[in-house]
Amino acid sequence: MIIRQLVQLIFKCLLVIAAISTFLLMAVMLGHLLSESRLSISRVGLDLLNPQKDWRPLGSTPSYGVVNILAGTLCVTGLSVVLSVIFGTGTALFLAYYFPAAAARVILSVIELIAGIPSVIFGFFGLSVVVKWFESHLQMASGECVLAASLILTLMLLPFVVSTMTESIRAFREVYEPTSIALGLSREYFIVKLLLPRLRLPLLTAVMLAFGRGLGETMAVMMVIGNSPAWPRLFGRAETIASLTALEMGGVEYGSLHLSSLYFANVMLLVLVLSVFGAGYFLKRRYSHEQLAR
Amino acid sequence: MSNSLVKWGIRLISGLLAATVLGSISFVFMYLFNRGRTVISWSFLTADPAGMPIGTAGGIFPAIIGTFSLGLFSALIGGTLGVLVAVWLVYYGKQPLLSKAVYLAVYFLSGLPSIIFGLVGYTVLIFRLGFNRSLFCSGLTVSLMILPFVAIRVIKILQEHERDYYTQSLSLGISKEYTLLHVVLPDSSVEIIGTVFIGMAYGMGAVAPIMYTGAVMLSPLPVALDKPFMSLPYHLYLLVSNGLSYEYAYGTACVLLLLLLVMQCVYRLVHWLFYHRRK
Repeated sequence: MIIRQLVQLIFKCLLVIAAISTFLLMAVMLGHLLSESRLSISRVGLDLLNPQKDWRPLGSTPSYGVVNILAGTLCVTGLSVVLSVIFGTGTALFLAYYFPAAAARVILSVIELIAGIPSVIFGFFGLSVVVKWFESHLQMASGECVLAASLILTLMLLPFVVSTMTESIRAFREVYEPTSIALGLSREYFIVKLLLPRLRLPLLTAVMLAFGRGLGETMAVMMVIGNSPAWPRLFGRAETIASLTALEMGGVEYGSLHLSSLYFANVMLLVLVLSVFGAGYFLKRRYSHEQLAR
Repeated sequence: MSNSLVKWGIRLISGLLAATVLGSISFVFMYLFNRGRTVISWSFLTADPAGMPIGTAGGIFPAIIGTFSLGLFSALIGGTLGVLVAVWLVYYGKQPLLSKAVYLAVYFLSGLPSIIFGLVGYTVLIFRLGFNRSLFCSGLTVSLMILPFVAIRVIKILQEHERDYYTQSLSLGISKEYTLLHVVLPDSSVEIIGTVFIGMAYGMGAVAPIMYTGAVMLSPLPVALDKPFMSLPYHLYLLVSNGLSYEYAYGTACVLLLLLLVMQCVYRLVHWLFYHRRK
């Protein structure tokens, strides 16, 4: 009896410890990010966000402008979110309407499997196929560019978009399709006039989800984007915050301005990711409320 | 007239989009398998990396072992913590402020890009706390990534789990902990273990958190917690980024891909069998 009570007590303690340590982990992460970036904020200050300043930490007069890299991050992610939303919605529609249900289910689970493939494999594929193709077919000196990175990232974001859209389409059909069939509406009329307008909010949610995922994508983007901190152009090399960090953090001295600036860049990344996910969270809540109130 | 135009327009557009997506997805798989197939052999799977420079000959056996060790270690820590947090949130988090804070922490960690885990893990563990680059440091960093991954899914599992047994057990005067340990958790154990397993697969594929905390190009077996280790994804990255051997990179990518796909399929199969058996 005493042993049993002891086990229960220990179990309860473990639960509380796990919960509190998770919270502490968040606090430590945030605190560490902020405290490490303090040095660069106080020493470099607003020049960090000065578009005239490049990222040249190793030059004779080092400068630490992260604007180009921020733009690169947003550009690559934005482009691939647009592409993946277009292609993902099309795929979800096609699979829901014009494909045998059983086969569609199999294909959907194959698409979901992609979410489990590590990004380094996508990066490798991008480097060995997409970049090579750009070099041989577009006569580019080096095929590493924003477009190649976006294409690879699009492939990685597709499962999120497709599964969100499939779920929403299914939920919407369950409610409205019987009525619309009874009214004699054609399938296409249903899609164009009822489904697509109502898909706006789920679509926005999918955009947010995909955007948040894409912003922090490291290996896949890093291996195909070329990694030079220039202003992003579609066929030019660029750099994202994640790839910059992965490339440079290994070679910097602890406590240096360089590392601190890397931390600052990551704080910016964190702010971006959190605001995107936060917006997505509120959208999702609003849209499920709206569905309930309907 | 315009009706059939719309009809065929929608069919055509969505069909084209879907065909592009499915085509490119199957192209990726086929291409990697096809190129990798020729490289994979028994000796490739069971030999140490060799050649000059290292990695251009031999095999990837230590990397396979290292990947599994990393996965097991971090699933053990991150998975356990994740399950415990989830149980606490679903069955105990009654104080609104504290449970909101823990929820926030779980979602915060789940949204954090893997590179930030890598960066913070690297500076805190290696520089601040003075550990050597080792499996231990990488495992800790990866387990932080697995924690929210597991926690969010287990929260969902527990919330969808029937409450009947739980309330009946409580109304019989049995303590909450006893009920959880002997009724609720055993009942959803297959799903929970499956989730931790998938979390392990997720952790095994990560590169960013282990790049500077412990993974290396060459490390002899056996794997030890306080020594650096080899990992398949990192090995793949090194082979490609240093331009060592594309051929071997295809082999490594193929092995990694197969490994993770098999793990995913095992998970799905078990889940499916279990689900149908209960029905």
